[in-house]
Amino acid sequence: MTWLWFFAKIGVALGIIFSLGPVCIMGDRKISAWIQGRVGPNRVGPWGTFQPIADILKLMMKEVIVPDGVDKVLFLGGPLIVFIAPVFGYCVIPFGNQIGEEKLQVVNLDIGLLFIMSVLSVGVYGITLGGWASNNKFSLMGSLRASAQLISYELTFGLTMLLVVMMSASADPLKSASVDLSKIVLHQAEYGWNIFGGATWWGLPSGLIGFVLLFTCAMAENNRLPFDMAECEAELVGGYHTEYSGMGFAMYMFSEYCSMILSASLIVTLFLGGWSFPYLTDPADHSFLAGVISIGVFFTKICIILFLYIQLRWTLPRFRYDQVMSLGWKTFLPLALVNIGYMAVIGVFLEKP
Amino acid sequence: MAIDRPTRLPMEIEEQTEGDLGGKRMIVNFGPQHPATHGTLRSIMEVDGEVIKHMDLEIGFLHSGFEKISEARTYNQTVVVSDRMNYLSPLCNNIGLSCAIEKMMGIEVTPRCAAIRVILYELSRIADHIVCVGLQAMDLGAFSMMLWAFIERERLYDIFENVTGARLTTSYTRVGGLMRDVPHDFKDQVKAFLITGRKTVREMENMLNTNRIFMDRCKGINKIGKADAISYGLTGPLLRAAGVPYDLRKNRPYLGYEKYDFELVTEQEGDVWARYRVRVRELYESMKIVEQAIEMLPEGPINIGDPEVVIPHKNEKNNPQGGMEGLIYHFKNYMYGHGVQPSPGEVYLGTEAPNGELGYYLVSDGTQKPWRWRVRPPSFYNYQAFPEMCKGGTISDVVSGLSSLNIIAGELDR
Amino acid sequence: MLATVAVVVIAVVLIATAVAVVVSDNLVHSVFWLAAMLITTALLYVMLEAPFLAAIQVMLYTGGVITMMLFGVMLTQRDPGSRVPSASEAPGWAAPVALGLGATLLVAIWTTPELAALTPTPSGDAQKIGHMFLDRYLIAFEALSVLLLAGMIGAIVLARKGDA
Repeated sequence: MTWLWFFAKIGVALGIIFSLGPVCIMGDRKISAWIQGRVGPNRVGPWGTFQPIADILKLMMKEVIVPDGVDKVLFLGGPLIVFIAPVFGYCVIPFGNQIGEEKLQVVNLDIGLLFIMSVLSVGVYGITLGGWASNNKFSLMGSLRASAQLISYELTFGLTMLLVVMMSASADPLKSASVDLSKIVLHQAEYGWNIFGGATWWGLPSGLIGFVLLFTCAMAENNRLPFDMAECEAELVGGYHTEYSGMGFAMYMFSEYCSMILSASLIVTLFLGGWSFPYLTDPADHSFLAGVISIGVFFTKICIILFLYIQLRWTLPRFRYDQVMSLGWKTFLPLALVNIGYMAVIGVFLEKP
Repeated sequence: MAIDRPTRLPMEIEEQTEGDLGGKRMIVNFGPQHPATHGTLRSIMEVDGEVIKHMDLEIGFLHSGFEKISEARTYNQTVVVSDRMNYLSPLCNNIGLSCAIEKMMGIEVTPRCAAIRVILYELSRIADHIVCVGLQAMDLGAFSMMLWAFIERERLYDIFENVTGARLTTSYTRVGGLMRDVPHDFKDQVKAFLITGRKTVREMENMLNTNRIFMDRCKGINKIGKADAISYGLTGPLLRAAGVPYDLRKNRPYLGYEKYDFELVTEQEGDVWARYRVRVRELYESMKIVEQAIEMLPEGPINIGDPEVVIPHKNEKNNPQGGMEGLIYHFKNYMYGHGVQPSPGEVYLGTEAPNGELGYYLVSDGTQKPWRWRVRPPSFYNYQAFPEMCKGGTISDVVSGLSSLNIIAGELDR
Repeated sequence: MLATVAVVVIAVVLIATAVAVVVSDNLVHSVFWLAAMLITTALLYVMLEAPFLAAIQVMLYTGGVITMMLFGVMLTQRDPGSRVPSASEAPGWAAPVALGLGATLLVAIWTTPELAALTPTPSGDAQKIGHMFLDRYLIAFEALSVLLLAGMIGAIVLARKGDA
């Protein structure tokens, strides 16, 4: 029975990421079409819904061109490595309430947050490798930009996660902070979402700023449009995937959407209460139906965040590279530090037992 | 000035070293096939990190020999050649060319013809500017803006198609008049466009004007000062963005532009942002002109009555040159040694095309074909100042700068 | 049993990747092998039930330090794709030094009785590390942070030299 549960959970987690990926691609194209006054894909299947499948079939049948002078092993390995972050990261995301004795989370790690951080930091290798191995100046520039950007924004990313940890500790009777994601979600279900300051009223500004910071940093980590320095089709042609064709390109593209989904899940888990919703889910109710409802709530929240991502992508212009850097180091990092300082100082003075 | 710098081949640049670290500068090649060039241009950049230290331009990838071809065409036939130069606003080329030939021959077009030409000229300007602003936004990543602009451009092309029969290769003007009169629903179509066009431009302004990212990408980028702008021979929105109030429609009016009430738009900064502002404000001014022209569009003939220049209708009743007389002119106009034959001499007429001064310099030897047919394309003069603007900026600034110049390769290389 | 096999496999991979770092003739490949080695080390930490340490290892070394190294290697290359020779200048000297170091470590491990007595503690390693940093090893911790600060300032000074 345990093994069955285990595989079922893996199935749901992978199902979310791999089925939502094509939906996300489709949504991206349809939403962009609505924004731009177009129709969007509408030929394959009803309302064009099979378009992603057709795209992937097309890309699979295309030849993988390996240009002259590339580092073959790294060139072909790059597209594989980019999948590490989204797939491994999803192991620790709690996607629903407990059903019976089983937590709806593939593995319940005590170091959940840190695990995600470390997996994300490995994810950049795919881009760096691919860009470097391509033997192309534009690719190299794209991959250098991507890794510099990732390192810069990881700091703010980490500090904002720290904020969440502090928030979930603030109302805990034992005062012990936890980086366990399922505990963070349970805390939010019990006391209030972290975006509204968690358990306390004075946490509200901190929570809002933290949410905005995490949202933006996640966008930067995914190389989505206002921050898509690595691709930047107007300057670097295609950035790190200029030389890729066929499945190599498909995997880079798909992994971008997968990491988008991971980021959305992370934002939902850390700030928007995970699978919980007032009056709809009850943390104490461990029935099957409640579990399914909680999965539905989680799914809906992810979709809202993803919609925001896509909508922002199609309405905002792109930053310049140095502007991205100065935004990260000169605005976001101090803001995150002040935010944490506020939380810590007020937490100590107001919540002193 | 760029002239005193010896031209170096890309291979030679590679050898140059700089800085105490002894690091070599990297050569980055932009184009001829690059998404940001919007045409076949090439700029070879010498970058230190991402900062541009030196830039060489290479042009001629789209050279089509229009000027030489035109020397083997009659005057009316060169109108067809002129379509292909600025492919964003072909009607401006047609109208400018015809005006130049008419100036050479001392012809004054009819009021209705002049008004229609002004309307079409300004509509072309709107089509050109709106696409340029859209592409500028697209190059900075705001892809949706480009498609919004193209929706309006398509509406304009519908009007052009209705008027001329073609969307791009319009060939609408003739010496002394137009190919044909505008259709009966022309006024309604233009009025309908003015409503949607204003709405779209306002929407685009709402999206971009206070957008912090767009401002950061545009303000202070690709700056060129007043004096430099004049000495490089910049014209059009680029010159006006640098604060020089120079617009041929005001300074040397043609086609009766002095009758219309519009503002000469200038900005002071001379950067990408100022160019964007100039273009957007000119969109409104052009719409104002079109509105006035369409209100007081006079009735009457569209062609001058001189049968030596414009062929009369063949069998039209009540036409003094109709019937047999008209038929004779149909032969005469197309026979060698007859037709449009300016007396020997030369003429230069500059018109204010969307990108700047579009000048035609024609030399006639008295035959029906021009002896010399030369164009002063605004893009050519605008493009030569590009390395000066880019120096010290980053590669990303090249992209935003290039889209703000609105270089049309067809016009640049001719 | 399974755990022992896993540790042995990890150890073999660890040594293999470490050797690959030294012998690969392309500097970029070396750096990537180093990254692989550090990740394998993290796996070893996991086997020793120190997941916190493992996560930090991956985050800091693989995510930060190696990316910085890649930066250095890639930026100093004249043009992308060219091979940077990284062969040691004196392999004859390097081998005895490395072997000596290894032997010293082995002897030290074997002759320290406290190490044998230690058993992996299941959880709470993060708290323990935190307490140790701010308690017993406070001076070392602070000295290290001052050193890092000095390094950071030094880097800024070096980088700004060109501008002044």
